[in-house]
Amino acid sequence: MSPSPLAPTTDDVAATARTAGLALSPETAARIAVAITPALQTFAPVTAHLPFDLDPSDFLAAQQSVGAAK
Amino acid sequence: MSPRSLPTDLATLSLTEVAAAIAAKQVSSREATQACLDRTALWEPHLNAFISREDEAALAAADVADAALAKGESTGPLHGVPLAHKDMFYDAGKVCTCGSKIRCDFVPDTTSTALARLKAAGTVRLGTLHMVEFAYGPTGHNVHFGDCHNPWNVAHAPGGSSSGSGAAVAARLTYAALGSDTGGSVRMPAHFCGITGLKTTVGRISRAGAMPLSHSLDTVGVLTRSVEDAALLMSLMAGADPRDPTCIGGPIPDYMAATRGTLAGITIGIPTDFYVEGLDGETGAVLDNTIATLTREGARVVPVTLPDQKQLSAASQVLLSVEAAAFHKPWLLERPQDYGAQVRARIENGFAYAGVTYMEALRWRGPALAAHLAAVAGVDAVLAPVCPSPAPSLAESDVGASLNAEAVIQGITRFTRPVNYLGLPSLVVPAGRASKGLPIGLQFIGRPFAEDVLLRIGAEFQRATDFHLAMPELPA
Repeated sequence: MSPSPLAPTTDDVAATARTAGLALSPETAARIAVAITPALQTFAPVTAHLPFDLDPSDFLAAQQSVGAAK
Repeated sequence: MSPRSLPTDLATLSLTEVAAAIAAKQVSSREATQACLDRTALWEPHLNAFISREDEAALAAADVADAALAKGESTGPLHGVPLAHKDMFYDAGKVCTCGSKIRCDFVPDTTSTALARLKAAGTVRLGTLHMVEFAYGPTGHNVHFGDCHNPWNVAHAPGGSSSGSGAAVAARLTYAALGSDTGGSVRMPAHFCGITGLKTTVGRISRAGAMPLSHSLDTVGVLTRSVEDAALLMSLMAGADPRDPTCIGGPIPDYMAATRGTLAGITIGIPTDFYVEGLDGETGAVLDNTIATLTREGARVVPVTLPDQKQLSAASQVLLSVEAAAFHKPWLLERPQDYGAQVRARIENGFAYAGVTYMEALRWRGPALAAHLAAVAGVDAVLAPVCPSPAPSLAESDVGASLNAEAVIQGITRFTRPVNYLGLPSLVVPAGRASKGLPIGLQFIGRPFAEDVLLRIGAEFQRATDFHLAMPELPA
């Protein structure tokens, strides 16, 4: 069985970091996998249902919306 | 304040009190500055709250302020008031270490807008305050400058990353201090050190010239001895800044007037879950007592069911990790040995998130805030703990770069990070005391740009209680 994509392996972590320009030792990659897995697993249900028409600037719109006032 | 009511130790005045006393020539700037320096000389060996001290320059600046006032020339509402701030607010020509070895001799050529606005109001510079390396940690440890200590119990953590701001304001070494809050860095030291702390709305105060950690989450905040003091600083710093286009324009509320309001017509929401789970007994009791006080003072208290806060925390962690990694990449590649082990490890974490995950965390922020606002419709502020417990000891919270370090850090900050993801303001006020003499603070989480409402609530709470007046005693 292949590992869950929500629980990155040491190899997954090393590969992703390498593409971002950082070479990791296996020990460091293993530590990072432990560190980031809870956040990825908790956030995953959100990412599965994000609507198509979303823009990061929607945050500013929500901040300044009528609904932001009591 | 009449001359006869001045305390023997002028350093124990509040910011608003000392500013008024200097303006009325009841107290000179030199006297106020010397009082802070005298107190710092006693406390600093126990706290390590300062990174740099500029005693002689401060006294010289105080003399200039006094001479100006003698000629009828007042610079502004903080004329001659001595202050020190977290060592991450650039002051042109002055070393700004950011709590790091990497920037130990960094001299900026610009001044942060927040700091410049306080300087324009007449402040005197005392020096710079301790902070966690690059503001990346919640406890107050720092391998380069030594750990900062909690003035209520020096074996305990002061909270971070604005560690020196928390310790120095609590010990009455500076009348107030700037801090920053990206994941709880104003609120944690305010809670741990028993002082008032205001984390501002994203976009309320310019971040120009303040060291970045996460451009989506960073906010400038204040640590003070009272809510009124926080309101005074807000009134001087808030507002648009061409150097920071993310800073919102438009009218600024009258923060000082807000502190004179009552709780009549105010509705406080109490979360039905998450923020009331896993609290130690003393923190839970303080929460109950605070609810009783607010009710007695006229607030309407209602239960609120908030969206999943753990998901907000997770999204916040993604943004913080990736953005910090991007800021630090050149230094991390060129001189990784110059970082402390924990900060280096946390920066490394950010390289392991996929780009798509980061964008999802950015894109969800709008609907997440909209969902929160819908959940708190009709509520002025949500009352919540800052942390499940009072300050941990420095020893037990020194997790370094161990395998469980991130989990421990996430546990300490679990009640603060959702607020950062939503960009909301949050006001921490001292609300009780635990065993070992450690304070307990609670946070009022507000609506976007409604700092004035939080200040109104907090000021009335402080008129009804005296937790904010308690001062730590000098260790033997």
